[in-house]
Amino acid sequence: MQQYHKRRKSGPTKQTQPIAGSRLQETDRLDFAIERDYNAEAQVMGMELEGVDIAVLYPTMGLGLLARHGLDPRLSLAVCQAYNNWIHEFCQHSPDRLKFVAMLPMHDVHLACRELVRCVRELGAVGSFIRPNLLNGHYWHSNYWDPLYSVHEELNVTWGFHEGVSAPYSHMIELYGENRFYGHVAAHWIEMQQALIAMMIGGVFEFHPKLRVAFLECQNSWVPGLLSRIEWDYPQYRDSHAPYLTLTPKEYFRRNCWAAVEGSEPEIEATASLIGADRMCISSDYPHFDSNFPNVSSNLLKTCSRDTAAKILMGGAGVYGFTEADFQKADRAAGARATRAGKLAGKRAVAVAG
Amino acid sequence: MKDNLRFVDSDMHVMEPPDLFERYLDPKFKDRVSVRVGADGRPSRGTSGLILVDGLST
Repeated sequence: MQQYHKRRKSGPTKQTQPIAGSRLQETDRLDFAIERDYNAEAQVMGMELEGVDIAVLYPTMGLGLLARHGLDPRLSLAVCQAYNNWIHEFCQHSPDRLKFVAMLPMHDVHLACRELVRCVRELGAVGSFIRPNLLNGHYWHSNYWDPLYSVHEELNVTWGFHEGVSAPYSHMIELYGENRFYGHVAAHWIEMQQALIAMMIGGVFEFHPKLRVAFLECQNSWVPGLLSRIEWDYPQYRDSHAPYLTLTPKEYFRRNCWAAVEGSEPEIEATASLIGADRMCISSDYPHFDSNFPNVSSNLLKTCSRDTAAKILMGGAGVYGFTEADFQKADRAAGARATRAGKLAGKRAVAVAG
Repeated sequence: MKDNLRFVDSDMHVMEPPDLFERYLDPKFKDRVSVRVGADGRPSRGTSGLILVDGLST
């Protein structure tokens, strides 16, 4: 296949996104985390390098762990419980700054509801991590998921769509074959686009007006075009196929959805002018190979106006429902940490002087 | 704060410890999730695909 062929032209690849070229891969910028075996202290250090006040944590190994049709729902639940119990403990290192979303056993919608309730009520989860792919024949416009949409609304937590790559159950895996480049490009956008179309047309946002859905790590310049495309078909199909839809796609999106950027996309300002910067949020994607950490927030400030950047940096507060009180708690935690570090440095200086 | 602006990272990742399932998985299911081990026989970091659930890669 093509990916095994050597490059035929020497010299650097032409780049049209200069500040996107600072990816983590092949740098030493993660040494502090590797030295600490990616523990919670390293996580907070990473936040400080980026200037993050509150971070919402998603899995890595867990991204693809349950990405398979037909898994035993009890096993799916046990794996989720193990991850959720572990991540809850991890967040206890700095609970006002480290937040997590629950991994859910999507192989049984009722078990998924139960696990979400447990994680939110007992462990402090702020939402769920859900892959956008078709699972066991139930897609997002299916009534099958109705109980899970309702529970998210009732608990006032966020549905966080996050794609990975190479999910054995993706209906598109047949297209990608062994070409990871193709899969990585397509999965992060197209699976999300399908999920948004299905939810929108299926009336998920009409029947669950308080549901908050985040489309993460998928950039978002496609969002305005897709919303327009759905509305383009309203005159032909809404009355016959979806008479329950009372708002335009853009109105639903602005009420129920957010989509993330990673800071260096050239289209950020243009997209913000079409869907509103307040419906955009930002993913650092730390510590993954394709992240721009620790330059994500700096890149954003270079890419768009300060006003747009300010809204996007705060987008996550809207996504997860964080309030001023949450920021004040995070500030106090950061302040206490800085004081501890200062005292420690003082003791060291005294020891050296002595 | 970044440049005096509040900043919520909506999507930061953790790197789960390789012995997560050894420590946290309900013992009834332990024989159904296997992870890569190093020469010391202890779970070791590897690509995510090397975790097997019911014998199938993920």
